[in-house]
Amino acid sequence: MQTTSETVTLDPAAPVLQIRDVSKNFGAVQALKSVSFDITPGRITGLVGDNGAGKSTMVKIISGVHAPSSGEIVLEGRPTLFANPGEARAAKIETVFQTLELVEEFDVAENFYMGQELTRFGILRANRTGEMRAEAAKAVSKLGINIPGGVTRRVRTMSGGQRQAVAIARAAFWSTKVLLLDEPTAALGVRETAQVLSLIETLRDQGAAILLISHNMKDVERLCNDVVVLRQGRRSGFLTGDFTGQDCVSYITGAISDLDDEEL
Amino acid sequence: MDVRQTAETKYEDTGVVVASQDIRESLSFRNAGIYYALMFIVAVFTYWSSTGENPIFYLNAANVENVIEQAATPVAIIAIGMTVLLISGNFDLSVASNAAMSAMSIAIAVRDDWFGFLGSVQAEVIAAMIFGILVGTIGGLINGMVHWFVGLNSFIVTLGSLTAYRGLTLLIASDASVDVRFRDLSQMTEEDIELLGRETEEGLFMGDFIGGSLGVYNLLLLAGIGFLLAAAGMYIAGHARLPMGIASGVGVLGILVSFFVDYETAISHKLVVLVLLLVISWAVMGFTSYGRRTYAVGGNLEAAKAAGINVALYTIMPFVFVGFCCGLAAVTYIAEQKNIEPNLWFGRELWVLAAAIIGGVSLNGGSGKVMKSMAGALLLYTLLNGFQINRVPTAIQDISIGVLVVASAAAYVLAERRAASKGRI
Repeated sequence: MQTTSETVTLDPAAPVLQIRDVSKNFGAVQALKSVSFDITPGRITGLVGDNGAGKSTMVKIISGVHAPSSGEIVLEGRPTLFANPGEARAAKIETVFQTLELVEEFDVAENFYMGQELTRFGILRANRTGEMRAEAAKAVSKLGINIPGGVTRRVRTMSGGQRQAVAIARAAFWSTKVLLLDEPTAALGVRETAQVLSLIETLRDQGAAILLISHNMKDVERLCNDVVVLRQGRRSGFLTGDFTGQDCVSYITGAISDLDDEEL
Repeated sequence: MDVRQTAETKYEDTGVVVASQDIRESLSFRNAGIYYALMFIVAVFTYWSSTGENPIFYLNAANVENVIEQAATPVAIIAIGMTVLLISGNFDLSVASNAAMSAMSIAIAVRDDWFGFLGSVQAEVIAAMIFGILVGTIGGLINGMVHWFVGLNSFIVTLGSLTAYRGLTLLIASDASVDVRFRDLSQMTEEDIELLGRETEEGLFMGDFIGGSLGVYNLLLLAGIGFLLAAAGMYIAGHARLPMGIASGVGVLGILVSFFVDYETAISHKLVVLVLLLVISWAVMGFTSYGRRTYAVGGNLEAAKAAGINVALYTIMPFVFVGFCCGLAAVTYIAEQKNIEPNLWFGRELWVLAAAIIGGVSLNGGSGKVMKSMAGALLLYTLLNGFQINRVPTAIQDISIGVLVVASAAAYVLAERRAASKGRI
């Protein structure tokens, strides 16, 4: 991974992360073929497609799990290669995966700081529990999340929606650049889904650059500013401005395609 | 969000809420039940022992020290390591074999003069102790490596090493008991006798150097000072106020009472080792990021991995720590023994697990406290000791302890379920 120490001032409308001609092969299987799109602060970019279209592969490349076979990822104007998830994390790119990555026995604050604890006394690494709780409480209230019991409530006692909110808030807390949300509402009921959707909107309004992977076209229609459609590993469509969930479905099924040589 | 920038922020608004929750939480039956149970059983035995034909004061200082010592080796010392391992989500059945293997290694190293090249007896004693602890630690490391790199369930791995380490112990001992003796009488020099400081009829034993006691102290005074130090540690770590307050209150009370009550007894090295190990493990598990990460790995391995925690390290190190505790148990045991049997502590791993289970450690990983496991070990040995003082038949003792293990596990599950149904965890 390449990093530089100087701070870069960016036009807020400029993309923070650019995916350029990214391809990925797993042996003979080509999971992604030359896919490009941008992720921009204050906008939600949707990534949709049928099962096996390459969405998960793309998320794993951006979050550093896989390296692309070819093409590049440009972070704030600089080509970047993440060797592992830790490097993507260090570059302030956070992912919320479908399977919630929370420790149930931990409270909210402990989950927030898992693996990145605030400590004192050097190698003794004594936890600064009070500060961690205070910071987590601030972050949670900034996003308007209401968790009865506060940040010392254990995750095990929470509902699915509350857990998802905690997972997203944690990712937002650490990701100052890009937030990847992989099916954030897949396992939730109607009311909980509404809560999580409004949380994502709050994040966008606060200037987060979000990539949303979803199967739910209603969510995509409501939240996304732009939508990238993947079909058989290729970018078969790009929608922006006024579009409906039905448009997305047409692209996903291949009824419409931007590709010239679409094989059906 | 720049963490460094906001790190100075004081923690005031939320502090009050947290403190009041902590009061309810930490005194609840679910959280402190093991301590209540221990107090209850001690109270029962104190009453029972004072009413028999030969009434005695059960809670006399010598008996308290005696119970702690009986519990210490090997059960309590290894239970501390086992608790850390269980928290990290794994399991070790081989602890008793591993500890016996460590003890046997020390005995053989001493008997066959492996460290004779060091010149002085003191250096040999220290080398033999380090060697024994090393053997145990390597035993644990092997378990951890096989579990992690081969990907086998730790139950299976340690079921194998349970037998294999016992076999090794038998092998190196050639199936016979081994004296922990540096020199027999005929080999002893003037220097040796001078070093020993007394006449001997048997020779120079390992335990002549590391056994014995640190002198006579007032148990209440020591415990009081210990509680105050613990409170100071919690204050430095920025821990919640209530446990800190309770610890300092108990500490002050203990010190005050110690001026009026004669509660003196000899403090053995074994007790010092146990207390040091306990305090260090408690502090590391409760107040450092090393502890947090161990809980995280046991609570949700995938989440810990995604959070960038070195899960291999935090999976293998607890195995190593259990092995270290096995070695430590062997050293403290040898301090009191003149010979080691190859079938030493056969089956004692179940006692270690029982102590942890009574202390409320979950076998699923991610939860448990070393202090509570210690209380579990003390509870077990308080029962044994009380039964013996009051002459309860062995059969009844075994039945009671068996029932206790299952009942305490059931109590934890039920308390948890009840708290969950009231939405109050």
